[in-house]
Amino acid sequence: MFDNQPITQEEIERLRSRIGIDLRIVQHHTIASQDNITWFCNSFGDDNPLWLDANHTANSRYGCLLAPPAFFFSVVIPSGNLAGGLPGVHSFLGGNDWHFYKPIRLNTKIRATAKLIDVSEKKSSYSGRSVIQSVEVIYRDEYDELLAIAKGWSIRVEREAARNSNKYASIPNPVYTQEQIKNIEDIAVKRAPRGRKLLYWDDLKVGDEVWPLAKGPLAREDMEVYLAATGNALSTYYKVKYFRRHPAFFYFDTGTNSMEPVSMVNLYDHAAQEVGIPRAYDVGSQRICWLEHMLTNWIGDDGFLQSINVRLILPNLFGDTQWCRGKIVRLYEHQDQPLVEINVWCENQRGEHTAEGLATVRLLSRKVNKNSQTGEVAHSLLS
Amino acid sequence: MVLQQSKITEEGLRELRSRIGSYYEFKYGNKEVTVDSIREFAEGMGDPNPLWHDEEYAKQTHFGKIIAPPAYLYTVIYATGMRVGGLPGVGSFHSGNSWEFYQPVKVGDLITGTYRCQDVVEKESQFGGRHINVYAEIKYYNQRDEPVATAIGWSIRAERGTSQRKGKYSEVKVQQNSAADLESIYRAIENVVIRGKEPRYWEDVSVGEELPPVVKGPFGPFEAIAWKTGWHVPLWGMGMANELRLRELLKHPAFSFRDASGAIQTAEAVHVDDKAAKSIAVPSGYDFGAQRNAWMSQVVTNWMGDAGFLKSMEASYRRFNVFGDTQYIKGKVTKKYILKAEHLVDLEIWSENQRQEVTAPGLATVKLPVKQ
Repeated sequence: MFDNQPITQEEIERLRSRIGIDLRIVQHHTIASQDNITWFCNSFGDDNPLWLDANHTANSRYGCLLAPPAFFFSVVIPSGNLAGGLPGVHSFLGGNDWHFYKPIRLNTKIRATAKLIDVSEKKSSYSGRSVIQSVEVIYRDEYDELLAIAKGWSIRVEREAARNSNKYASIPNPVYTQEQIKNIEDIAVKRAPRGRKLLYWDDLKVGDEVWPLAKGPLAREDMEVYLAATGNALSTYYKVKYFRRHPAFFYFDTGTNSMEPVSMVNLYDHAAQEVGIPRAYDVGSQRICWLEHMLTNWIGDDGFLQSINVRLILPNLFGDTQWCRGKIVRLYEHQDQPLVEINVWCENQRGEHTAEGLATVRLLSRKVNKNSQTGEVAHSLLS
Repeated sequence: MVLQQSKITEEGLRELRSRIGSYYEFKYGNKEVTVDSIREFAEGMGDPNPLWHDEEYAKQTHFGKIIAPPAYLYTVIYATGMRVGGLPGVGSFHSGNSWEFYQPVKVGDLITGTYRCQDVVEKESQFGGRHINVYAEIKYYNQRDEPVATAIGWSIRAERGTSQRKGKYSEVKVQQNSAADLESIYRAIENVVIRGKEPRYWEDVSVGEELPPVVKGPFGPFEAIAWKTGWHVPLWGMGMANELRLRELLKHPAFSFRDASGAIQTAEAVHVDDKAAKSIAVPSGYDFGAQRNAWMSQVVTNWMGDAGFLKSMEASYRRFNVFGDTQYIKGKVTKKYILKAEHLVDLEIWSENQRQEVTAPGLATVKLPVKQ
């Protein structure tokens, strides 16, 4: 059984007292080495040659491999959990708001700092009283230049209330016809990144759709790989160390006869049922990786993802499939930069949106010399 | 949720034998040795030795920088017989390794290697049914083309079905651990002894001396997944998510299986999925052979200290380490001698579970420093 603690005013205040303090974080990756990039791309299914093929990138505007924007998740996931607090109270990633300032070039050393920025209370239909805690993580390179800023928030809910709410109890087991599986797999197998082919801002119009991705049906192996690639699977020696400091994060799992972290909810149905969810569910940040994967696939080598703000609405359960989609809502120029605003979302086989967000990408325009539009990257290449 | 179960046929065996002498490519594997790749591997195997983690500490050793634990080489080329392939739909169990190490792997090195199918041998089986051992020889080199290590890795190929599996594996009881059991295991884990910078002099070692044990357990899913943190083997879809795994598995269908929803996974699921494990007649998820090898080398590196060098080791993985089991890795000095001006010590090393069954016997030879 998971530890079940109520949300108390005292614990909320204790958490609030950490607002503004630099949090002690453990980075998983510290460098965007080729191996680190490859392993991380494998963990969410991205095979864009811009991240993986040095021959491909030799002739790109960058002249070297890049890490995908999602790589920052393998440095540290911007989740409210970084601030800890409320032991024995469950935590779900609620969403992320990312701003990217520079592409991550091969072998960039990355240093992250994090602060708790907000703690607020909310009533939830799922579990009654809940707390939303938000952190801000800043990623810099070794020259202290800003690479990205991410705000991340987590929703803390009482496990017993969650179990008793029955909000998710009626989610049916996924059933697909052979044909549906084939359709999903056809999209998954055939979708290739745009690569060097240019996507011009001038050729787009509001309402145009982004090339979709199909991710699923979700299996335990997807979670295993992602947990390992983000450094969220502790071997016993480190588990015991962590257990001594944070006992409420662990429980004795009678299914496996071992002491395991509550992240077992991402691997086994019986653990997810402890919080009222009928089947094991995903690590939410992987879905944000997928939406970024969709966008970088579509914009090609010469586009740049500037920002993405994603709200995770429903859990993605084992056996569920997510179609990652996007639709252009606005085309505009800002400081001579041709920008595209895109509604993005993940939609499961029941037609539910499990994540929704808004992204901004920078593209090339036919009107202007293409080197002038590439921001700091082109300028540094030209100078 | 059952893995494909094929028979070992004469034709399949002939085809497998024809692979002897062939070289196989490892498209993936760690190339550049970085502080991240070493730290992540050491964390994944649960080895806190500062020599693998702490740059300041390592600077003061004679290496001058962080070095990798010996088992790190598994992340470059996976030293088992599995890569040879053949006999689709027949189980593959990593069952042993022998290693010779020539020099340490350091941060900044570029390690590559070759993998060759060395032999295919039919054996008497403990599993029941036919049982084929596939041997591979792996040679590792650094960026100066100097040999770093040679490994022989072997895997048992045995039919997956339960009917063929006789004897000892069906007798394995699932261990029930009490709170008191856990506390004593955790204490033992915390009491790990690492010799570190204090040299272990050859003169001070005596035959019969026991090595401080390394304790791992109770084994559970996160211990299995942790191993993958540093050890990436994206072979046939392993270590890959989503469409990347799917694409690989459509090419290697006998290595795949689907659950009720249609989700596709690799046969590697046997390590964390009771249903998949039971379909090959193992009671629950279990560890990786290479992981056990890493743990067995840890008992040696802990004991020999920074000035010692592990020259060779071998280990056979004879019994499964299933969920709930605890391994006590032990060692004993069996011989002390001088050969070609090197001061050497032979060790017997073994992994033993809470039922006092030896799950993996092994040997190691260590070179130690001498007093001036």
